[in-house]
Amino acid sequence: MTVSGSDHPSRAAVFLADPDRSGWHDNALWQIRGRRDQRARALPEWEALRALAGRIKAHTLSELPEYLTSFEANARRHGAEVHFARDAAEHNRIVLDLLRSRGITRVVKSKSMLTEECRLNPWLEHHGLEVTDTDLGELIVQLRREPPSHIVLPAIHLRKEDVAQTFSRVLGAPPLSDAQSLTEFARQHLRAKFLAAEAGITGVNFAVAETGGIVVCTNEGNADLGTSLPALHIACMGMEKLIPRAADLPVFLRLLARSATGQAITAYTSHYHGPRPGGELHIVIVDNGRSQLRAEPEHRSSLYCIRCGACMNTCPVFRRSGGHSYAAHVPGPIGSILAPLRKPTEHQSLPHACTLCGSCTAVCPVGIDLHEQLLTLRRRQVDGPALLELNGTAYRASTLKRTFTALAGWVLASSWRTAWLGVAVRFLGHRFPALMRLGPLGRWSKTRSLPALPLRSFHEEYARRQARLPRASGRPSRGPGQ
Amino acid sequence: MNARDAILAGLRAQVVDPVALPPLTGEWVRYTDPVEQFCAAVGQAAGSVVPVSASADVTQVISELDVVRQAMVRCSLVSGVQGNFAGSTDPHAFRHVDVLIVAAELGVAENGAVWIGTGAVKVRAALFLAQHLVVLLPRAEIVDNLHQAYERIGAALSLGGYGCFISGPSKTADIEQALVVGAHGPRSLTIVLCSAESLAVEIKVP
Repeated sequence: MTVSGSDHPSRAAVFLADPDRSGWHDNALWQIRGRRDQRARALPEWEALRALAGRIKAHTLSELPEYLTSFEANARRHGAEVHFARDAAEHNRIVLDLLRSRGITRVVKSKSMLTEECRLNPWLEHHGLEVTDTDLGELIVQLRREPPSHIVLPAIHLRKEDVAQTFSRVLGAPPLSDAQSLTEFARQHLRAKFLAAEAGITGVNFAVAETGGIVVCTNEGNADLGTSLPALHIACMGMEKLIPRAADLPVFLRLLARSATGQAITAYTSHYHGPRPGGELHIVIVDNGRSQLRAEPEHRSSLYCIRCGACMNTCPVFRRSGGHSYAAHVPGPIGSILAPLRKPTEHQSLPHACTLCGSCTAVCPVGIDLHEQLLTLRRRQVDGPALLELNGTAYRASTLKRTFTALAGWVLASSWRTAWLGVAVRFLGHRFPALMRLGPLGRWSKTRSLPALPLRSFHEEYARRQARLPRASGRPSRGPGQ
Repeated sequence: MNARDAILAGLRAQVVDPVALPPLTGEWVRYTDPVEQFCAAVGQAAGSVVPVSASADVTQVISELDVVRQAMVRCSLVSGVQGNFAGSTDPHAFRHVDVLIVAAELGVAENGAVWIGTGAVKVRAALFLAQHLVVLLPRAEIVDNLHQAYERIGAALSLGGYGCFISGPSKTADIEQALVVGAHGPRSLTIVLCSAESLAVEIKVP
């Protein structure tokens, strides 16, 4: 899909141009949200788990250097090699070197948002390697040369006809029409890729400092096949994936799948402590801006994220606008925090892709105050400490936006100025209704009609009614029996 | 400075308010009948449970399962259950296995998962390449919740190796949210619930 326009609203308009598709998308995600709710209600300790998960993450971040070194030592004890990368480029170089030095050309990959963030696939392909995404949704978008539109459901923006067309165009599949036969076709296609692979790359859901192990969760079993057939396993993780103890795992595992898809647990929860016999395990720990996030008290908790996607499934904006409208590797509410913190200029529209309804915050399994942070980002665009790009340039909203915001603030700060604004709007709205559909105001009336404007403000109407009350009864009674 | 030292030095230079490591004490869910809850959870995960009474012969029950009878290539890691494929140290050799029979260390009532512990399967690819999976689980090894499960397996994790919670067969809903069972791994999961006495779990390692 080609993404037109540079901001969220114009990209959302592309998705909304097909009401059947966007309506289906909205409904499908809302159903997942419903399943999540059922699961959450079935566990009496749900809220206790959420609170505990947030506190474990907060603690781990507060002692991150210690946990990093203890994880490193324990992972090495099991025979894994641990690498550190300051940024995406360094991460990609490490992975490429590991593959090239072993003469490897065929790689299977399971879902990893970190490798999306680092744009690992294009980098490896550029260097002549064959990289196959093995999660079904990821495979579909890879064949279409699109980014995933959702972190848990990468192809949720597509209908089965799109998938059938993609499989037949790229893989020469026969005409298939149902999810069952399309999945079976992908199974056969990918089995050959798994068996021929020389290396498997996975992400990491959790890394346990105390044991030196990593945990990977999938429903399809693709990570497991990709790591148990080839001798080389490369696991790529952001450094916020650490948790202190094995006993912390159940806290997060109980929250993750229930929040993500409404399952009690994923089909496979694999624990890797060291390589398989005769194999190699390399763990690449990536910073890529995470240290900077840790230093921002207002946004530190965005590092708690376990990438369940619940905030996306519940978000009224995400459900209607689709993941591609965010143009960020992590879309939705959490992505609208992470992306502008990293590149404020490029992603300046994202903090505004939010109604501040707070539903994301209400469902987040680790207690990130998502909508509060989105509001903070808006404030910083206008008059807070400017957002800093990774390279140090500052971003502020345009002069027009800041002037308008300052003006609006000045008007709304005074009751009589606000009253006069109302008078002016009602006068213009009644005399020249077309004005209300022009310019920036027109965006509101594009898909909804403007409600009829009242003749008077509430205050004016109240004063009038008071004046019309019969004088004999004096002040209005406070009700019967008084 | 190398990347490792640069990252650690940067983090150590930051001022972050200390947050205490919270204790993990909590009132975690318990069930009046964990076995019944386990069976329900396995069903929700698209797996099936075959209960075996104490008097019945477990090995016979297993060999009479449809997925076992219809299998051309059977690999058994449970003593007493005959297979016709002895296994291999090369993971690719398991590509033709139709059914794999393994024993689980424990089951979790809250989510229907079984733990295939470190050391239970030497060539772990077998768990995922087999077309069908049959898991033998003693009833007494079913715990209520995942916290109890980690109390049991935590120490073994620190010793290294591979372990996996498996809940139902391999599945996906990536096409239009329609659930399809049999994505890349086993197309079915059958859990044979036995009593401790009837089980001579002597795990063979291929």
